[in-house]
Amino acid sequence: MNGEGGSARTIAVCAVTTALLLAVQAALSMVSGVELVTVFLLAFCYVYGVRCGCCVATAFSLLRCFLFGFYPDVILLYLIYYNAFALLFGTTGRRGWRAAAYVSPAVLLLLAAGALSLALAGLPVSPLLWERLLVALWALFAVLCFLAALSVLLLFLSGRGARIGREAAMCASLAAAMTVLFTLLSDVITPLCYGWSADAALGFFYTGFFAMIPQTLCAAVSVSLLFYPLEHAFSCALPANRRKERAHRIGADVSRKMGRRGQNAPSNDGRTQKDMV
Amino acid sequence: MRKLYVVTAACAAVCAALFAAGCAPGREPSVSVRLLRSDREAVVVEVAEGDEGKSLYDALVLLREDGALTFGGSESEFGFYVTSVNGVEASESAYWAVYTSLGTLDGVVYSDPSYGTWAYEGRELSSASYGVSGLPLADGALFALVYTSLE
Repeated sequence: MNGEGGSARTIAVCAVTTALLLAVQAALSMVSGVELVTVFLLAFCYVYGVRCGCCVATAFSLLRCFLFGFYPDVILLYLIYYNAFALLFGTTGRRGWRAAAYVSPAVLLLLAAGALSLALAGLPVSPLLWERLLVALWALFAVLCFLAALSVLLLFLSGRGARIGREAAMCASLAAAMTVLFTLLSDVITPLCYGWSADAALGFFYTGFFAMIPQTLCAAVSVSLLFYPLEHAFSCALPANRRKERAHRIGADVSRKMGRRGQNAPSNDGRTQKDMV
Repeated sequence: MRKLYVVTAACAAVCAALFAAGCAPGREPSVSVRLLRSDREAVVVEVAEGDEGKSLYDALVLLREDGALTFGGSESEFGFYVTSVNGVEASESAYWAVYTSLGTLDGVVYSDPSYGTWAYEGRELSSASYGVSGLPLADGALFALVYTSLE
């Protein structure tokens, strides 16, 4: 913990973030298809890294059972998914991952193609509920296409605004992909835990789309809109040396994009980080 | 001439009455459901004459209008989620489970025995994949809302 900033402060921030996640999930549990845990945990992991992210993910996965009940399949699902989530976004935030900015339009287009093909081909679900699923699929397709176009456009722009936009688009695309992964993981874990037949598992897989589509849409939109303010808010709670280190890295990233006109030369990047540690 | 007025008015009245009857909200003459059981532990509904364009929710609304049962709940991603039946509310330790005799119909899995089963007068019903809004009123289908403990 010391390596990631003052341990007492880090523990306090992890505890407050876990409480915040529980409050957000409990408050929005009544609203169908809306969840903000993804964007809150994403912004936290992005700023605080893998170790703190995994601590919060594990604490949240276990403590939420006091509110929503202890179900082995759900506990297993949450522990696997949110730790993988923390690993992905903690690494992305720490490394900057410029390559991910180029991958995100591809991820968004892939997801949009998936939504379009489902909307056109249909799914073996109850015809009584198909209309509402179709509306959600078209809405998801439109939002993903918009984000893909925006992230391509941002690749050609420079400056702080473009960097923030690129990061938000990258995180939104990965968050949407992770939300799809969450449902797919549930489609594997739940039937295995309860020993369901193949037909029952298949039925469960198809009904999963009713939750997956609105949640993916919600993740893409909420991360696009709330990533920057939340990342900024979490950054404010960083220890001074970590804040400085992060500011240096972001400055270097912008200057690299602007053709080395900024203050930090790329060769100083690693050295600056080593000096801070 | 007066007779003509009377006959015309009578015909108009009959047409208006038929039109009003046809437009009466909430009544679908093509659907006929029988309430086999309704108490604080279970509600069992059998479809005598079905319409697959209508859902179990529509049947429950009809039965509620007739005063045969009461139910409440809220909307979710999966349609209407029943949280109370005949005055019994779901809690942290118990919920209203939906069972049906509908298995797989037109490639759609509506229920499966491995989700769980419940027996009613010798017939085995399986736990449903959908809520009351997603279950079609197929001819002869049996539906049950059962107050189930989470144990």
